[in-house]
Amino acid sequence: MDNLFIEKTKSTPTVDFNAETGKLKIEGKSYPENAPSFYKPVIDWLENYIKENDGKIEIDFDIIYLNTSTTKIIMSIFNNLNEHFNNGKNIIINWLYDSENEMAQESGEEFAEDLTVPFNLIEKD
Amino acid sequence: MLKDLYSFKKKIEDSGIIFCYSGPVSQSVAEEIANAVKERIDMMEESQNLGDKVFTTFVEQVQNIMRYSAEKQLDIDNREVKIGLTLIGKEDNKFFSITGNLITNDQVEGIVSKLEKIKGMDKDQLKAYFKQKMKEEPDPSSKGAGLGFIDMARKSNGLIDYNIERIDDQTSFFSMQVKI
Repeated sequence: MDNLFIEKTKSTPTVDFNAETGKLKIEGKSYPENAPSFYKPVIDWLENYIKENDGKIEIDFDIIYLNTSTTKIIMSIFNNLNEHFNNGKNIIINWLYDSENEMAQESGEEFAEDLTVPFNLIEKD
Repeated sequence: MLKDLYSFKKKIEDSGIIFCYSGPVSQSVAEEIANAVKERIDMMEESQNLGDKVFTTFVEQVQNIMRYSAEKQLDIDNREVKIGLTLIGKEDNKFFSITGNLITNDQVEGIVSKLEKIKGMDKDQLKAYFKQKMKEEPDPSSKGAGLGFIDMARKSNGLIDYNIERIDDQTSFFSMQVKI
């Protein structure tokens, strides 16, 4: 399976999904005009990866800003991951945030409220 | 203009305005303004949280202009760009982010009902309503996630206000203020 790499812009994050090492990371700011179209290839790649992979899947989200269009699409990504977890896939979500970034922390806490998939809130120094 | 420039500068400073823009708003214009404003607020404030909140609130407001403004022009690539006004400043220890744009009169009712619904909701009600809307499909009139106004109300602890001024049979001017 091919890796997925999307270079960050001012309003979209770096997407670095490495199928060989299993390191999956989304990092940066996310406030594009049209979040569903930005995240479409990300969602498609993840679905394929999960289908083909029965081992541990760990995904890091390190998002500094989210507009509401991003919040909605990330929630639907988490709901899909949650469903795969409930169907027996070994999935872990890490939500990383800067210790000074209250908004990113609160977003992570709110996402976690409705999920059963392991969801780690990790404060960075 | 040239001779009045100093008094213009004084007027801007006295009214607390730190940024004002009126014209076509593309995504890249929004990004530049948001980053400039964030940099400016970080210079004024010890904690970066205020700058972050104003940044995201501004982005929501300006992306509403980009989606719903009834005034538009074509850019050099022949793409439609919406026109609006943005004003950011600080008054009485609170930052304000104001936007204004033309809307068609048939948009008025939808905007008023959305904003009136969240007016007066407390923190927990806003959170519950945000989560409910996050799970729903956006209503047909919405071109985004349908969460923008609720998010602004949450970030400002309910300090949002709006005004709609009828211009003619077709259009009205919609302005809104969020205080952070």
